[in-house]
Amino acid sequence: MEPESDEALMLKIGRGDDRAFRQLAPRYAARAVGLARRITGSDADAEEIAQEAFLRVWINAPRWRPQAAFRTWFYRIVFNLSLNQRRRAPFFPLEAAADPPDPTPDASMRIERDEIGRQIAAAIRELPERQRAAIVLTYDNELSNADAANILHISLSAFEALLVRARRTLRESLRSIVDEH
Amino acid sequence: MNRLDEILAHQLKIEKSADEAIAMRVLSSLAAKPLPAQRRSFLNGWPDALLNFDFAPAWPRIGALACIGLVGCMIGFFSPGAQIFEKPRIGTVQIMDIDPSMLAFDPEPLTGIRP
Repeated sequence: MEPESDEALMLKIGRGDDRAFRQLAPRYAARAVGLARRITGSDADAEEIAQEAFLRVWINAPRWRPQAAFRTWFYRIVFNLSLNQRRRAPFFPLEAAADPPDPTPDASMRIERDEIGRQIAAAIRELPERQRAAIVLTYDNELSNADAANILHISLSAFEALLVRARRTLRESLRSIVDEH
Repeated sequence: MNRLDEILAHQLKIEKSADEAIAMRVLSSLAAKPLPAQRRSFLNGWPDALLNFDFAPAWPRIGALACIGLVGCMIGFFSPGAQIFEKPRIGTVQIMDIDPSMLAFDPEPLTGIRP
């Protein structure tokens, strides 16, 4: 049996069907957390934002109309909540905390790999928030440029320009890693 | 896909395991407590509210009633005798030939003559 589409589930949720809500939420939980986490830089904030976004979906479902894809609408809620949270709270980077020493034999390799990952994460984190959102929506959520532009409330050409600027900045800051690998 | 794309996609994929752990916490906390009341707009919700009381709106009949009302208005506004859109006649004072005593005095009950 084919799973129900997001939009069909949303229509059920709009009629107060909480089972449909519990079926829809797992499809987007990790992606919502991922988007919020990369924009706010905080696990705790991301958890709070994802929960708030799902509650907003439930509360506003009766007024939702299937004119746009649910995914676009939902990511826009998460993105707006993340921006609000980021403007309210000071920013604590995820990678700020030092790792404890690792006794395993391949520890040095792992440290090197972690170090590269940390540099990439830091480079993404240092982007302006809209450029960072563009990168996350494109690479992490695998959205089309049109959908991502819709989420960010900008035109397609403006989104593409944003993405080009973000990639150019990242290529500059990750030059050593890109050239090495 | 060029090298930068690969690195970015790989890095964001690595972080997904942490996302999934947090997502599990979000889902379990959503499941743990009852969901809040939904926000319904009156305009969209009133047919449902009527259905709850067995007053389902019969849309064809409501449509027929509206059409009849419209036809009635059209006849009222545009029939030959209708004066609704005509300009009021200002300045046409009609002087009546009337005895002012008729307004001021009642007639005698027996004779009917006014004083």
